[in-house]
Amino acid sequence: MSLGVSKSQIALAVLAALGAATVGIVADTASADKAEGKYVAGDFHNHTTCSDGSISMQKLVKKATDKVDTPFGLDWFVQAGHGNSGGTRNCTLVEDATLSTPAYPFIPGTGPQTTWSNSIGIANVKGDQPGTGGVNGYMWRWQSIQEYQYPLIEYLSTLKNLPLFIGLESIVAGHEHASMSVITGQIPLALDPANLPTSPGPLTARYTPLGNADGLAQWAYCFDAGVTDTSRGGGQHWECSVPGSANSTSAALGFNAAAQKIIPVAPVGTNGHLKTVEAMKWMVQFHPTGSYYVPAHLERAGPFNPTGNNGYNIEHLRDFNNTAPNVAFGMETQPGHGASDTRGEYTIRRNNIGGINTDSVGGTTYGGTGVYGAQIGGVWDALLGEGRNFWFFASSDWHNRGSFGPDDRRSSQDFFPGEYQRNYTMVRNGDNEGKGNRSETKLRPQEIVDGLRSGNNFAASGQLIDRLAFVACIGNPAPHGRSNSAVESMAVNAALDNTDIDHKGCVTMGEKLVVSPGSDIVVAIVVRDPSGTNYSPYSFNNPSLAQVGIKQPLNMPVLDHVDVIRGMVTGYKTPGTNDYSGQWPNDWITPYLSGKTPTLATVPAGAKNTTAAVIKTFNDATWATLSREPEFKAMTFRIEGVRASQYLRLRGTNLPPNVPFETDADGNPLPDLFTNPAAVSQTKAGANDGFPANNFLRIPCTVTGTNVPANGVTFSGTGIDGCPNHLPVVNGVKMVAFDVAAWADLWFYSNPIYIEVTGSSTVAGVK
Amino acid sequence: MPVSPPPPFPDEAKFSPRHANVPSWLREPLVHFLVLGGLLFALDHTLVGRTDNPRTILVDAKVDGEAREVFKASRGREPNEAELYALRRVWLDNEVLYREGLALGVDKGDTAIRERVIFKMLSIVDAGLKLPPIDDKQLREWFEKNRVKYDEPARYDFQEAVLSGDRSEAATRAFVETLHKGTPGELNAGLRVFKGRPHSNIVQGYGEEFAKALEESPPGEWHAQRTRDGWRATRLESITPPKPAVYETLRGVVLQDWTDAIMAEQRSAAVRALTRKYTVKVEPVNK
Repeated sequence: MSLGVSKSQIALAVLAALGAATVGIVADTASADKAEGKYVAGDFHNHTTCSDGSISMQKLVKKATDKVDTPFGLDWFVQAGHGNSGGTRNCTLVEDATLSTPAYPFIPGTGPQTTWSNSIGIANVKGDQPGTGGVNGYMWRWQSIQEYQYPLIEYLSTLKNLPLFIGLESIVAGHEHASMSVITGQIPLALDPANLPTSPGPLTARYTPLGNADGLAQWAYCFDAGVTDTSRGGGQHWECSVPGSANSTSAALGFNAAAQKIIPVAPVGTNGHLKTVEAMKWMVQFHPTGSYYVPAHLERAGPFNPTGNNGYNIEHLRDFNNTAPNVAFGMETQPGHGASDTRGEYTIRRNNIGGINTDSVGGTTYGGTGVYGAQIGGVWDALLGEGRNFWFFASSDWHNRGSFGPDDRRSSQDFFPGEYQRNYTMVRNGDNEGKGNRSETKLRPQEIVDGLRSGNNFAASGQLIDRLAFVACIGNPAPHGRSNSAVESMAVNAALDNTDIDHKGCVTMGEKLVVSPGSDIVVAIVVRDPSGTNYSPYSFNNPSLAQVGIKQPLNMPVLDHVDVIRGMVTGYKTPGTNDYSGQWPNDWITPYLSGKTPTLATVPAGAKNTTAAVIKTFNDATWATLSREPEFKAMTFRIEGVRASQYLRLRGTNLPPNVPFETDADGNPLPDLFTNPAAVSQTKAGANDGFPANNFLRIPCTVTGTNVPANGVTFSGTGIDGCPNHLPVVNGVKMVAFDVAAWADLWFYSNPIYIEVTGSSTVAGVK
Repeated sequence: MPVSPPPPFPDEAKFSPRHANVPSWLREPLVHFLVLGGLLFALDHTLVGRTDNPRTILVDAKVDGEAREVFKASRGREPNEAELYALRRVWLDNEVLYREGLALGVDKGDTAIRERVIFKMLSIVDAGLKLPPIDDKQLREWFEKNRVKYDEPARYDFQEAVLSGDRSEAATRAFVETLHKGTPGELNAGLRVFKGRPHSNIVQGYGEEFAKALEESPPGEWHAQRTRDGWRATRLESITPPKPAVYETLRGVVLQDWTDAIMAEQRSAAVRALTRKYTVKVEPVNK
């Protein structure tokens, strides 16, 4: 097997693509019979005051979906607060009259901070009342979803004709959080058309929905670790057993007969994990295609802790995916909180486990992505190396803007959904005709979840790219064998149309190409690096790039290069065997602190895939720019004579290799610790080995500018032309941190294409 | 308006949503005030303005003025009478909570409060600093002493032909031979292109040995070079010679840098002087 490419080959290929779409094509033009669809941008993890966010549902939906005022304008949006973390405030009350709607008018003197007690009255708050709520009324998430948040999201979805639905950021038994939903019942076809009310109902039922989120509400009651309510849904007689699964009613795990659910007993980590596996089984049994479950910021809370609720090791991800492959199909390894003083809220010595302050797994994020997704040959590659359907996702995790108000464009904590990170998901709505009376272009929750499940998804930060066609075709033999130029032509057309390819013998992300041994594979990649400005409010030059003499405005990032990563597929690991499990090393970040790089040698066999490597890298010296559409860059190469099953995936960034404190000589992202201003805890009580604030900051920000607003004034504009005043100062010099660090350091990640070679390992996770 | 005891605020029982013109945030003053950014306002007001009897709380025009500003920044309009009344009440509640908190010492160990106080004290220190006069001759001398900061270093354009898989010396040398022959289609994993990188950056990425070898190699030729983390096939493209900085063109920048440097020196000296008021005992570091 060999890899070969030259600039002249690429140039010829693109000339063919641009000259005529049919030049040099095609052994077989048969369709693979995919329904039509487009890549659409969305977010499924964010918060309102119904959990611990800072704004109303209405304001968040407007911020996330408005394409003019905001203007981050996502195509689809899932509102998903914590299972229970906060719960005293009524997020359906709007901040001001501009957010009024007929069914949910503004009530002067109230807003999303108003308590349930002061709005609907405490008598209407259901279930057990824990002491933490006091007189404010502590509403369990199941009730707020079922009775308040779902009706509002259905109303807004219908009123604004937007694809919205309700999800949950579950507080997970035994682990860190997870983004999930049960969509059964939500946004039914009966809404097409719906007659919306012109006046509000009572505060307890502003709008009476046609659909429901009963399935999600029941799931929250049954399986969210934060929902310690035992009322069985306040008289709805919910029970949480899974037919045929003894663990779901196991007293040894903590099954509570009154509550009809497991309340894990010690060891809560181990038993909590088993409870969460039951949650997977419940979704498979009752909502097999109408649910999803994606561990969120899964490295943040450190490794798995058998006696507490901390993180995930690879075996837990395998357990989930084995139990519910159509539900637990990925991870949110690119967390939100991108502007935080600990990017992603990951940091070293963050989690007290057994008296030791233990690092987030990997210690920090790497270019905004957790180590499970960012490390080539690490956990994600280990899972892909088994041939699993386990996909990469990003999220905003919006709560607030730190020291700024929600309408300020600066942030020292979070970005709004769509402002910085986006999932671009292939949603196939082309077969909608005849469903309801709406246009066939309407996106429905089922199609969005199907799109997420398919793995045909890429994630990008800072609008680095907003189109991607990633295609692999059989290069030979016949009947499907195609030339490089033919495949590139296909990819160019797909990218121009914001869709994917539909040809036999060709596949894209989340799919597998089954070939005979010795076949050639032609791979074509086309990205759009959009011109103009992104949503960064900063127009001064990127201080990270300034370190290597590159002058590039922060709000006009340019894609520097695209890496193609390949790993070999060797099949599923067997539960109980040594290489099924493996905890990522707790001291992973230590070598970086002395300018070195850790190696996979310290990673357990089960948590790595040492065959994964960059096999191609493209940049403006080796990709071709489409002459009629210069925002589009095309890259094509051929893998000759494949003999073993494998996968290909992509990453790209605005940063060239060897940018101090950002990328290493091979272009890998370095720890974001060097832009995290937060102080670092000591390793344990009395150890006296902590680090003060700003200790690790390394990248100066020296542009002064003339449009640099003061910190105490809301700034809703753009074009800040000097380093902002909220940056930390070290020895009199502002240092890159917070949102400036995020806007300086942009990445995209694709999901993989699998190539299954007949007689080699089966890619069992993709049908 | 001196307030001791507090003025007769409205009966809280009337504060329900049905009384639409009466803000319900009175039920949770601290939370709402935090959202309005009012905590710093309260802290600031207390730190700067609390000069009278600690048992007397003054709700005056300054409070009203700042409340109006905070409200306007948050809502985009002036508060009406009821809202202003509510804000006063919120401010008063917070002032009471703040004073009681201080009395209980809840600020102790709170790094956010500590840093805020440090910041304010530094501002006071800064206000007392005075720059000495400087003429052009002195500034030029300072520039010459710090010239390394302003001179443009030599910059190197180079490329790496990326070798996928085996990156041993033998494999890299064989790959370089292929590159020398110019065999079509054999760029292997592709090119990395580096433009205008100074010596320090090359050392940081690859090590001193590689930097020296690259910088001394003839342009346009592929070489197998050892780096800190393995062998690489690289080619020097061109060198931009170093360029000494010209004082006249940078005078404004130099003056600002000199100002920052002198201010930093004076600030440190002022803090050292304050330190002399204290007896500092240093414990050995735990091992």
